[in-house]
Amino acid sequence: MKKYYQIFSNTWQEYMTYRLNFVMWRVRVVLRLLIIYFLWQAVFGVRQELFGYSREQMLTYVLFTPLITSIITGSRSMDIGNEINQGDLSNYLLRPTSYFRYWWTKDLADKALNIIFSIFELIILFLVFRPPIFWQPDLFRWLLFLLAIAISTFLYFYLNVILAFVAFWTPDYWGPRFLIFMVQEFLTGGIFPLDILPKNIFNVILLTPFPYLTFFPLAIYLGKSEGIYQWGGLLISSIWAIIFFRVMILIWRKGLKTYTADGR
Amino acid sequence: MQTISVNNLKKYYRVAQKEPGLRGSLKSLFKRKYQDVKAVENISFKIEEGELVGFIGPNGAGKTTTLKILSGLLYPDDGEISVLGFNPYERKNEFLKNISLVMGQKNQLWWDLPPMETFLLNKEIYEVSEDSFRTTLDELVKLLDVEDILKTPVRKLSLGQRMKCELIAALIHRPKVLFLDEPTIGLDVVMQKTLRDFIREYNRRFHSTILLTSHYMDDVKELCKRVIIIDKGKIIYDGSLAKIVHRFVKNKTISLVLGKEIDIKKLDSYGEIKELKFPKVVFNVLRKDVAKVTTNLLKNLPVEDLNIEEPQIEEVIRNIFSGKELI
Repeated sequence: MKKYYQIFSNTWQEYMTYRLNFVMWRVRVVLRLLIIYFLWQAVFGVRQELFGYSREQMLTYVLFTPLITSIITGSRSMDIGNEINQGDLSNYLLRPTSYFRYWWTKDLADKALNIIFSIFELIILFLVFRPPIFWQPDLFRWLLFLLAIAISTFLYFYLNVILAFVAFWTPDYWGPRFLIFMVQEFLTGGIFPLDILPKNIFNVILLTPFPYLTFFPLAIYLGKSEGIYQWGGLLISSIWAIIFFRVMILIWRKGLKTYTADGR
Repeated sequence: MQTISVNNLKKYYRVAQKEPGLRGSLKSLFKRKYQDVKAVENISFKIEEGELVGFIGPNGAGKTTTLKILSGLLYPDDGEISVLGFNPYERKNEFLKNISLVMGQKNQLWWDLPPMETFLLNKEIYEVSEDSFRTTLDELVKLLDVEDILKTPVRKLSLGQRMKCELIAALIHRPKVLFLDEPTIGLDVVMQKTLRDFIREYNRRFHSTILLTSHYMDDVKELCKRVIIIDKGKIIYDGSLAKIVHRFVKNKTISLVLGKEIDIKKLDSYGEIKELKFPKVVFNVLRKDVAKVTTNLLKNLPVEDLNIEEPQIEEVIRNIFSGKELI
């Protein structure tokens, strides 16, 4: 356990070295949040309901997005690609410890730091704008909400590691990730809740892993995930997580055989 | 039982080939040509516990590849390898806890943090007890004289300081087997000597088995009794350093300074003349004839000074590497 504490602590200390980087990253997140927040304010105007969302549900959705993103997609593990390319992976292969747990811990450190900042920012935003907020009263929904977040967090970790493992075969490993980034921006529901899209498009999106990275947990929290698609969603995201896990392990084994420990 | 045993090890790399220029790049997008590079071809050797062996060869000879295979980083294509009774590629924790690989051009230290943080992390990873950690750390820090830099971020350290800390990070768990790949590369002569002294002392004190590669003959000359010379993936010599000269060089040189001028033709009868610049004459003489020739020279010629020389190890090895015919 102590070794994970040490990895955690080192990761945070690294952030302290690049604190300006980190602060600017948070500024970007907050600015983006403000833009979307005011956009939705304007869209709603004097109306109290739109696309099946009440004003308070929509604003809650928008305000909570960065927090959920911090939890699920906060990560350092894209650096794995670079480590493979530079041959630094060797350092870890030589030590009696699991590479996956090492990166999982680093990711947790990143998540923790981002969550703290997110909560802090949210409190300030609440105090400044005093927006109407939707509080979920049902404890069971809270549990489902947390479960969905947990599943998605694993799902994203595996996906992220798989994308980095592309570096085993080509130094050009950023290509596929950029592709995913583009899709991610839109399909996770970071800008608007996905269920305002036409029904058949929405249903197709639900089959991909992306909506589970932001939209789905929030929909559960807001009570917008009634019936089939709540359970179906939990099932689909679990299946994706299992598939990605299997693929990750498979690629790891294959990749290590081709690994040449480059860098000289 | 041997600490390290390697039997008919083979490792080939497939390397993508690209023609020069943008056109070549575009072409290689669609049709890639590969070439098999034989990095290591059928090598075998054994190393006993506590030995300090030098592994030398020109660039690209297969030294680093062999070290990487021995430490479990690379998958061998063929052959049997055993290190401490383990198959390295399985990378069992028990195996990893007892070895270490240090590469002069790679670092494991966290770049932005002081070296101490990496030491502490390694302490946890290798499950070293607090007591043993303190003792080992104290000892290593004293030997390498790095007390004052343990709290400085690694990126602010000089190359030499960093190398010392790399060694500490690699040795904190007191590995039984240590692989050192070019540990002195890029360091100044003073620092090279410090590291050499340290490696010798470490080997003596902890009785660990060390396999070392280096481009600097001084490293090998000062540290290793036994050397393995590898070239183009094959072992061309395995034995004591002192005997290399015997093995590869049949001749010695005798150089004289003459007291007065004599008939040059007379000189021919003593042996092959390598150099003649009056009053200095250098003969190339078969090793077994040296005593006889020397006696004759001293008896018959007005000799003022006489020297019998073996070629330098460096020279011999340089000749071996460059494929030159040996003198």
